[in-house]
Amino acid sequence: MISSARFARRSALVAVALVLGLVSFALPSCTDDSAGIQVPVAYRGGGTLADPVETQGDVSVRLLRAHVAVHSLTLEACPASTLARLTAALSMPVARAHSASSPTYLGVPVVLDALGDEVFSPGTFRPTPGTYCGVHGMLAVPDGDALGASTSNPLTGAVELHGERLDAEGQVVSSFTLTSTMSVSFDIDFDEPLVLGPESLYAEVTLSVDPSAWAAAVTLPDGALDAAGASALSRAAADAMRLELLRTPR
Amino acid sequence: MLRPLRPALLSALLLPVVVFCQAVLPGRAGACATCSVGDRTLTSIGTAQPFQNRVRLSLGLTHRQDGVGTPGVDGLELRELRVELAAAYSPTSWLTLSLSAPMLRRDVLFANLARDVSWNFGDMEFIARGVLFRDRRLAPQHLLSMQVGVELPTARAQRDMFNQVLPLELQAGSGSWDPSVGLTYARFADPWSAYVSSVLSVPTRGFDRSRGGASWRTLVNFQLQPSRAFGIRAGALLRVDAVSHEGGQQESDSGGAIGYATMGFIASPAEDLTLQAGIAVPVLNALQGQHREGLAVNLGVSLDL
Repeated sequence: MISSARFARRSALVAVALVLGLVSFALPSCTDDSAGIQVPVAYRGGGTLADPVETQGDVSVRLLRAHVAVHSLTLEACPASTLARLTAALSMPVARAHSASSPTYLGVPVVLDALGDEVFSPGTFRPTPGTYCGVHGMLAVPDGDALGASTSNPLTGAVELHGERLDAEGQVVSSFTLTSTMSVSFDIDFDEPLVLGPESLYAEVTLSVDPSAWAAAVTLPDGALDAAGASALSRAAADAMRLELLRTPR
Repeated sequence: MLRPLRPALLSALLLPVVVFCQAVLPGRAGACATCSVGDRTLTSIGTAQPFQNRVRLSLGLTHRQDGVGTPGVDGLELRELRVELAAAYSPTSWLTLSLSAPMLRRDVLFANLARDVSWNFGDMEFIARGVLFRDRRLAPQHLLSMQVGVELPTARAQRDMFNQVLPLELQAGSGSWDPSVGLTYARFADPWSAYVSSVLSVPTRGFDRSRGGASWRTLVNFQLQPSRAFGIRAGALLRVDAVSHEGGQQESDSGGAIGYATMGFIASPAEDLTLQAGIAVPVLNALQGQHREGLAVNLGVSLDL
């Protein structure tokens, strides 16, 4: 027969063990988190442009305002081998669950002032281990809540260029404002493939726009900008996008 | 990084069990637990033969692996150690009330090699088990019981680096009130015994408009106990899950069926003290989508007060 005393002793023993266990649970727990592979992305303007630049047709202009709206940026994996592509094509399609925020896609719209030096951080790529060869981006008309968007003077196109035509003496002849609502994509390759894995977990990507290069590729219209001109304006902005890649083992 | 845990629930719900044992049952007297039921079969908590005022406490450790998503693309891999405190009390010879409280050490590896290791409180579970049929009062050979239970939403939602809620399969709990109902049958034929349990749980809405699919679990366990203090076990576990919903959408990497072969041993090194260990090996995997479950290992100790 179990006596009441023994039952009490057992209960007390268990109570003590429970209390000790609960005290240990009550302590804040230490966690061992690691961020894994990260590629933070920054967008920045091209900086102040004091000197006049020449557009197509050797027209000297002074840029007063130059904006591009970066809609999205994708980190592009290097092309797979023919065998790998064949294998992927023959395999069952993969359901991408929980991928509303893609590890290699940043869909945060940013209005970038090509003549300013403000820096925006739209996010961080968190790709899987692999080799990446460049980025693919898109310029498009931004929403009103895009990063860098002005509430007083909102950007109405995907790109906008505003400046003054100058004569040979540098005097202002006339002003111009070119706006294009046409979306355009751009691709920029890295100088060398970026290898990400356990040994190299970190890199930084900075995207900027070169206003001189942009203006140099633009043909100023005599009148209003037509569709072809708008397309060329957007294309010139896309071609003026520049990329810096900082490889930093961390 | 420091994360405060929630011991208050554990304290509030488990300690009173012990206090209750001391305060309400001072006059309790009886033989050892197996003597009281007239059968020397060693049992785990939740499968024992009830007798009036039987009080049993247990501590269990379970390690499991789970993976959701495509490895190298969007896969998440989980290694989880579950530490579960449980208490069972039989106010009568036909009713057993039990409460379990899990703590989980969770190691989640993300596709970009990010790792999140943390301790989390899981969903507590309350179960009431009533004997429907017992062929005789002492040393019954057949014991048929019905159980009803509910999992309490005591776990917090676990999120990834994008602040998205992790798949339900990788959560510390469902965060919902999940009722369950089932039947259990135990056959005692010393030195053999068998235990069959079939339980259906129907989760309600939990984290972020998520809702786990209904889950039906059937466990069959055979035990051979050549001596009073040692027995070996083998059996099978089959789980059939309905597709879960997350964010109001069907989760493609959920649902299906998985079968485990189980084996282990149970021992009693001292009177009323039971130790057990076992493994569960997945042998039938019909889970849908990209969902992988691995080997599970469990250890446990239980004590009759």
